[in-house]
Amino acid sequence: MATERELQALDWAEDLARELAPEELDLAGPLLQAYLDGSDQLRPASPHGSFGAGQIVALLPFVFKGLGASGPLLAELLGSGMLLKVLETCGAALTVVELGRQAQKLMGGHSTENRQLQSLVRVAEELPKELAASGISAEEAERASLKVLRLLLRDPAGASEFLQLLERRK
Amino acid sequence: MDSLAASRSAGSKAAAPDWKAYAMAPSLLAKKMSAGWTQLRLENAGAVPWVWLMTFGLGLNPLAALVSLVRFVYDYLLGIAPLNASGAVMQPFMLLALHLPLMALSGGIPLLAIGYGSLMVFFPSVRRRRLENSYELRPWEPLGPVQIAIYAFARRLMPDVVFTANLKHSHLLAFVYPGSATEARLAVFGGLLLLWQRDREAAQSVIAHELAHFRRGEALHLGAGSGLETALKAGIFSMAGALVFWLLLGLLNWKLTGILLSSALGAFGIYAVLLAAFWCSEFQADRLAAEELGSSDGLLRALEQQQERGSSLSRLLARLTHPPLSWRRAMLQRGASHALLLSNLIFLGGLSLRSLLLAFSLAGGYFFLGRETAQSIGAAMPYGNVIRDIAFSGTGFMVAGMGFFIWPLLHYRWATLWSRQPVQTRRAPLWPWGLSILISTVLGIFSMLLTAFCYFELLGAPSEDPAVKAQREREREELLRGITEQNNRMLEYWNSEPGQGILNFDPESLQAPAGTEGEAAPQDWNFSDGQSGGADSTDQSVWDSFENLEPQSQSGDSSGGY
Repeated sequence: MATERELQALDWAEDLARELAPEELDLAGPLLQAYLDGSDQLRPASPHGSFGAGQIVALLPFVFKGLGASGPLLAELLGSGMLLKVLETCGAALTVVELGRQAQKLMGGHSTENRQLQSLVRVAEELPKELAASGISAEEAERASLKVLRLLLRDPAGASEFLQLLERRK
Repeated sequence: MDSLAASRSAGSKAAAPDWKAYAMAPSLLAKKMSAGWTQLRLENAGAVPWVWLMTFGLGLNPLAALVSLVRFVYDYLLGIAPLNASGAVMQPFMLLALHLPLMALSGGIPLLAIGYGSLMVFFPSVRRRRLENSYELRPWEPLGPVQIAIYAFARRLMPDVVFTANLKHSHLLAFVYPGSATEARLAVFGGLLLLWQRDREAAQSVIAHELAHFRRGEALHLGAGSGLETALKAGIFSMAGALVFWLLLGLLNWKLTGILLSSALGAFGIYAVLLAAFWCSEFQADRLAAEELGSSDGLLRALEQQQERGSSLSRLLARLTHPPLSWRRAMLQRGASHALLLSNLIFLGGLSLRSLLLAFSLAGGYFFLGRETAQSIGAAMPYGNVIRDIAFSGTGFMVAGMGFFIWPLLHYRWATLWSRQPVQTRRAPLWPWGLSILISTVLGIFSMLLTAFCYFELLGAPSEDPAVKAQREREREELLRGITEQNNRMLEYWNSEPGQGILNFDPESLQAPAGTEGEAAPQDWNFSDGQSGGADSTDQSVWDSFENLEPQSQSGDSSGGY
């Protein structure tokens, strides 16, 4: 039987799939389970000459990995409301990199806020890199990263638990 | 393909091999020649699983190398190394200096790898554990409609297949590997699930192709983590390493480099056969998958999207075990009989390449040592060895011919054994098999003639003056008598000194055999600078010695030819 927490994580995985890769919606649960059960390695060397997936690569495992890697920073940003504040201020940003740039411009105020803004800049750099490892273009990865951040803001408390699960996986 | 679909629907039914038709083949042939060749049909057997033959053939190689190494050390310790053909080319100290490390480079490593590869066929659990660890494969519990559909499809093809999965690896689709000698395991990855959603037929083709490897009994030899594939790659890399080493050696002595390169080509030929066997297996797995689905369209699309990817090195490594995609597509677009014939021809092509490389190897002595020296070496070879080598060059073709002959009869039982369920077969024409047997016979004869030409024309063993030949025969008999006496003395020594090891045996204590007293010892060579040869003349460098050596047998008055 799945625990309440696992069911919530499954909901998050499906929401991410709906937002970023609709065709992975049916696979969101199994992909999340496989990610939680295994190592960080998402692209082991394929046997030479074997059938490859070509351009078809699932995005969700890379989203999980990116969120797991940025988990502590994102949880702090979600908890403090800084992410919400920045997104409201920079509502016109189309990519997470633009968001990071605009966050940099906001720096210089209170030291705690400044540190959080720096964290946001780091997330804006790291998350698209993980997503781009799936094979999508850098621009697509930046856009998708912003979508992920917006999605997490829908339920900051639930998102923090989801991030902890990704971070503390076996 | 439509033709496949039509033939499948028209003739697909469980059928035992048509023993009667085969047994009656000669009389039927005579009857049907006028009525039409295509009336005589056997079941569609697919190509012979050559990798099985290769496993046993190659598996013996390391053993043969070990035996020859032991024999070399044995001969050397007894001081009779120059009595064999290689001893005529290099003096004992040169053999020790060069032969062993070079053998390790060019022959030893690939042979060991091949030994490992052949051995792994009998220990599939080792491969299973390694694969499941490296790809983090876990038992698969299909959830959701896509996974359940994949599960059901694979189970329909092979009811007792065991599934493992790692869905987060979405750049991979699936591969088959052995759980045990009789257990097929199918590793399912995330990419297969996505492909199933986008193009179900292509995904089915991939599964059918992978399971076809097991149903043809070849999954023990092929695929991810296969020892034989590792052996092939190890052979290529060690050969490349040896090539660099020899080319550097060429700065010191280009003749030596030439001889080593040509001899390496001969040894390398076995890999051409192994590669051809791998390619044939892939063609047949493609064909079986297309027949299973009644169409090759899905597989063609799967191949289309696979494309050539990765670095040039990874593409090269992929080519060692898988034919080019364009070839696979072309084979799928042909009729079953033509594809079968082409597949057989590819294997025969591998054998032909091996024979050619062997011929180049023999000719290397001629080209790099010069005619006179090469002929003296050729003359030094016992006649039996020449005959044996000529026969050996045609052996592969003879075995292939026998395989083409008996496989249509064995196929049904073989396929049933691996599928563990009645196998659907359909009648197919006999002509690809007949033509394959004919071509392998012709190629076998040609190969033997080529080897004979290399020996007799280039090395010139039999084209000597009868008087010289008679003299050489006498010398050879004397030397053989000498060897026999040495051996007898050695046995006497062992019998008289129980507990003494061979390393304590002093060959100098042996008396010269009757009839050879006063003659130059076999290892004695004249050097152009007037120094006498043998171990005493090692003040010159090894390389200078080799450059200047001239065998005494040139004049025909010495036993140095041996």
